[in-house]
Amino acid sequence: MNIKNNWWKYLGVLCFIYAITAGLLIPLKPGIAEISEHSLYSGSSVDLSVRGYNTSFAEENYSGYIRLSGSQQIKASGFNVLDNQNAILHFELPHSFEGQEKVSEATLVINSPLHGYAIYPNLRILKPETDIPNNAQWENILEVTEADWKFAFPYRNIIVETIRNTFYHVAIWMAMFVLLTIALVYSILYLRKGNPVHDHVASSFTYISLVFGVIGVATGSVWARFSWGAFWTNDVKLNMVAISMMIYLAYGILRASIDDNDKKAKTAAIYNIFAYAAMIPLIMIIPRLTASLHPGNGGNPAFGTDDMDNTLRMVFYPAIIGLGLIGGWIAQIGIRIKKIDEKLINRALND
Amino acid sequence: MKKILFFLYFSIFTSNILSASDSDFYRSTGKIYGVYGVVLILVLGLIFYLISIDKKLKKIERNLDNE
Repeated sequence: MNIKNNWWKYLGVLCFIYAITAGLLIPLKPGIAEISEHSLYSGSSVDLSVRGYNTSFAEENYSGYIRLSGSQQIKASGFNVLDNQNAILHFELPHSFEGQEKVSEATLVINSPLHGYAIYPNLRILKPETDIPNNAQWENILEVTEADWKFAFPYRNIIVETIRNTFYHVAIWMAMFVLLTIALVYSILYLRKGNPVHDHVASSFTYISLVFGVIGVATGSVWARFSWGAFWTNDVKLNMVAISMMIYLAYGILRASIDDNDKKAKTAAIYNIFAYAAMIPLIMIIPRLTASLHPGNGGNPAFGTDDMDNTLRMVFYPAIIGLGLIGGWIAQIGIRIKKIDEKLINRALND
Repeated sequence: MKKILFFLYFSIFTSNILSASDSDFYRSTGKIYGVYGVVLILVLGLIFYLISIDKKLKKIERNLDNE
């Protein structure tokens, strides 16, 4: 293959290989997998056993904190290391906290100078019925010193290692949107100019997008099994995606059912514009208006700041580019086949 | 030559994963198999579509032979 004209194919393959290798091999940051108690009483002393993920308690000097949702924290007075993954933290909780509420949200933080900090949210501190005064006091939070820069993906509870699926499941949807937009542009071009090549481009891009969509649904289903516990849930995004896939499947059926080439191309182009206009609100808008298991209600999940971090982005963006270019390559092969087919038919008609 | 390099690249890459020791948390929660499944579906999906394109091409080749 000529590099000058086909550089984008090499780029696509390189990005894809990079996304698979980097996405599977880069480790996760340390995290807290499990703690023994979630509700603590203020004024009591607690032994909290903590199970770490990817931590090295025995090798480094860790310290533990419980942080209130405000700006106060208490340091663990004891950090008994059992092994690299297990430790028992001893806290003397102060008997009062700011505010009148009976419950305060808190976060457990463990920090090491080498690997940085790991957090466990969803901790509650309750006020007991009878107040037991003690000497412990909440202290103001000092800025945690950031650890040396280490290339690792963030640790998230529940999804843990499946955070890597962002590079495959999310990226293939993003690539699909790009390919479908190209198909839409060529459908409009066909309606304006009537050039049959534009119809080949539109249909090839739509078909590969449909394949990407089916892969997206299947991969999402596997991810759902591992993080939500079921292959298919009644999540609004899943149902809307199912409808969109039906709409695009109908595109293929529509094309196959019309014999006359000119009529086929025209009908398909109009239908494609309709399908695109139906898909965007179905997948992009409705799920964000209601409660969805997918991240990013009322936000922009894949490009937002809460769910992504810079290490994820360094693999996520190349994955989108790689999948998009490979999709474009496959679509181009389809276009070339259709061109040849058309030439052969024309030749047969002329003979 | 390209094929050999490719094979070497992937065998090194897979042996890296397979030799992960216990202190490595890669497979400790079993969640990583979800990622393997996803990558497998992705690659298989693309291959199936390529096979279908291959069939289409075969049909055209047959038409050419018949002429």
